[in-house]
Amino acid sequence: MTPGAGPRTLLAGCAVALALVPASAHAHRLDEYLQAATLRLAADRVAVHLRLVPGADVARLLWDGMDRDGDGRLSPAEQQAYARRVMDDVALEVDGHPAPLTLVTWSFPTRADMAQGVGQISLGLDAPLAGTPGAHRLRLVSRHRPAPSVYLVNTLAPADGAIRITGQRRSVDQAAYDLDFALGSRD
Amino acid sequence: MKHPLLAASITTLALIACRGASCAAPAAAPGAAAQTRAAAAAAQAFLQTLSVEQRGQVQFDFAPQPKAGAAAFKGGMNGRMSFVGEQYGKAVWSNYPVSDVPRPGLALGKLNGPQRQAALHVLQAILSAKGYDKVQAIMGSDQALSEGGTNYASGIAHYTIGIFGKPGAASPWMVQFGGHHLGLNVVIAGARGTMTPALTGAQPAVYQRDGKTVRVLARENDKAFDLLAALTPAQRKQAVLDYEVGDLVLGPGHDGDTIVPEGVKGAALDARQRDMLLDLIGEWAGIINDAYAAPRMAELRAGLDQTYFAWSGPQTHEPGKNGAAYYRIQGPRVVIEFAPQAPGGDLTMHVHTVYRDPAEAYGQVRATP
Repeated sequence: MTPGAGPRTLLAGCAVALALVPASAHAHRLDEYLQAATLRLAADRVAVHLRLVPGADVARLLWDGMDRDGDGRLSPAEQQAYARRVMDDVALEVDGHPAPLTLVTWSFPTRADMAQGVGQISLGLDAPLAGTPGAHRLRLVSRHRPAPSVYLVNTLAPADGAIRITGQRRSVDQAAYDLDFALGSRD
Repeated sequence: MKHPLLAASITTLALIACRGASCAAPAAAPGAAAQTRAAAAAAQAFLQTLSVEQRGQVQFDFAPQPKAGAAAFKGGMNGRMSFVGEQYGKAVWSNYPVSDVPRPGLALGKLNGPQRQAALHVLQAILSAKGYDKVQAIMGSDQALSEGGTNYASGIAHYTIGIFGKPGAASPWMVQFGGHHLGLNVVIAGARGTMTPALTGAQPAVYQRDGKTVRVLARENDKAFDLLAALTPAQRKQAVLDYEVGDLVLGPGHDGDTIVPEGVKGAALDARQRDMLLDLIGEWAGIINDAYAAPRMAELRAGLDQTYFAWSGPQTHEPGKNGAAYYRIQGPRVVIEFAPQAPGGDLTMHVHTVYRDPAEAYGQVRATP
């Protein structure tokens, strides 16, 4: 039989699961924390979007740390407090100098959802760039690791034609990321 | 073996006007108009098998949207997680099971025998024979998973069909079909048919059915390993990333995102390697019916110089099993990711893939960076 090709009469037949199938199969991450960063570069700023997806087991761990007053609800202050904790663990440098990140947007699952568990957390961060023509290097490092983490970091293709990406390097686990880019002159 | 659509794509190549990422819609392939008539007839026949109430559950408006968005759904794991699907109007697809991300439409398990056959006939009418077999293999995998025991909805009965718009040649309409590890969005507009975005996947990637072994997405795996092996050391050095990629980067909810490409560029490949790359892409582009796929393959070939192939992970795999490596194909008109998944404990037995066109999604042409 050709690999990957199944008979066209599957529904009439019976799919038989044998020992190849684990007795209890998980479709979702349980004990990992997916931390995906997407950078959007403009001539005068860089936006960093963090998409944080805790596995089910991680979600409970995070919740205990986020709901500080233990009232079963996540207040705006508690949401921002967690966002700050993440930001404390995330460092951005531009041309070797620290570039302070500002929290611009954030979203957490609704209060009702959070009362049942933690879902996807979205943080929008922003830092200014000098916009000086020439070659530049941006470095983003995340040390946020409340649980075993899977990191992804990528830069969106710039919409501004004056920005040219010239190189990318990552640590093996993608917790550290270097982006080389060149800004063209606007004269 | 060379993909049968390769030859067709060469003849169709002359029909398209393309300037980098700014490609005009390709001319329809011969037979595409008849293909649309057949697809519309199959969809109409399916709708006619349904009660009025069922038709209300399966038919939706199909209005152009500026962009699809990420939609969160609560549920699963005793309500401790929320799950992300991609929502375009009322259409939703995801890698997650339907119990976590509900799909609009009617599940196969809610249909009687003739209705189910009519629904599957719609798939046969819009997909190639190989594409239909691939869908069957994916559903068979989920059925095997179901029979092994899950705490979420799994199995063939949960795959769901939705019809968006009015089937015909007059205006665009869409068939959405999917469930766990499957999300097809087939838009038919006159004599053109497109299938971006789409998601395929499997868990388990190998299972037994009727005494035979089925390895799901095997060609996607094997052709990629063959292409990697065909690269020169210098090309491989460019293609292989020195970091781990643990998940899809442009999965559900990332409509319109174009990341900076990495890997070896198509322009650096020789003719045989380029054919291998296009043949590999054809595993996704050829899911749709051949009459619709031929012009698509032509536009993909036209952008091959600017198409990158990137690899992360082991460079060999056991015979008869998929590998544990992630790879990405990215060009002006295509993004493909093949991402083995950790849940389940064996990267070779659980995989998600996504297939996108940065310049066209849900039948809508988009501006690209």
